[in-house]
Amino acid sequence: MSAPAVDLRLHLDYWIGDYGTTQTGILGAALAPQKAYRRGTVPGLDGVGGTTPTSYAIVDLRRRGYTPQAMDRHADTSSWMLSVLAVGRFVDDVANMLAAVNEVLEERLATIGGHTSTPLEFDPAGSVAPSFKSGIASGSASYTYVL
Amino acid sequence: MQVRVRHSIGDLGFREKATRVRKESPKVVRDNAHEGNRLAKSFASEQHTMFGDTDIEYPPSFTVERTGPLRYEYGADSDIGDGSQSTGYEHGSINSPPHHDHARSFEAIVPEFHQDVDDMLRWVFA
Repeated sequence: MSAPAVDLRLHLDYWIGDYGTTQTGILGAALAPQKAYRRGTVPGLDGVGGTTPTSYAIVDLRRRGYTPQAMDRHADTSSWMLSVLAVGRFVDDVANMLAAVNEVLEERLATIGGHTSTPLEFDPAGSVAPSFKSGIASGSASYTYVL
Repeated sequence: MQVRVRHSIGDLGFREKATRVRKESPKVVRDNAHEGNRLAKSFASEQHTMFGDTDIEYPPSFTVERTGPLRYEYGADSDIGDGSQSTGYEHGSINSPPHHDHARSFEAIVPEFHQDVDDMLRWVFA
C-alpha cells in the first residue's frame, strides 16, 4: 500500500484554496482580512506585480520523512509539516495572526484527498516567536499531521 | 521455626548486564548524535554550497557537543562561522524558503535511534 494524498497541491488546496491562487481554504478564512500566500506569489516580492500588503502570511508545506510506522519502513502514511510565516508592521499584528491560525489549526482533523488526518500538532522546533527586525515584524508557527 | 529468604540479582547475571548497559548506552547516544550532525551538515552543504559559495561558512558551523551523561547536542553553533544565521536558514524568512536542515536530520535519526537502543538492549539481554 502506498502513501495516500502525496500530491502537495491537494494539501495547498485545502489550506489556502485552489492551489493557493484564490485565498480561500481554511487559512484564508482564518486570517481574513489578511491573506495567506504561497511562497513566490506575494505581490511586490520576488518579481510579482502589485504592492506588498502591510500584513500577510506565507504558507510553506513539506512532506516529512517521519511516520509513526517508520520503524518498519512501510510508507502507508504520508506525514506533513505546515508552516505559516506571519508578517506585519508590529509584533502584536504578527501575534494576532498566529493566534488566529492556532485557533483553527491546533488539533484540527484535516480532510485531504478523501483521507482524514491525525489532529494537527504544534511543532515548537519549527516555530519562531514573533519579533521585530529591520522595520518589519515576523514570526512563524508550524504544525505537523499524518494522513 | 524461622525461614530466611535471601535474594541476589547477582545470581542471575544481572550485575554484568547492568554494567554492560551503563557502558553501551553512551555509545549509542554518541553515535546517533554524530550521525544526526553528519546528516544535518550534509543537508546544509547541499543547500548552501551546491549552487554557489555565498553561504560557504554555514555547514562548517555544525558541531556535536556532549551536554550530559546521556545527552548530546548537535547542529549549527552560533559562535562559529555563519552558525548564528541558522534561524533564518532553518525556518526561512520573507525572502527565502525554510531549509529545515536540522528538522530533516532529526526526522531521519529518530527512528534509527529507537532501533539502536532496541538493538543494544536485545544484545545485552540476549
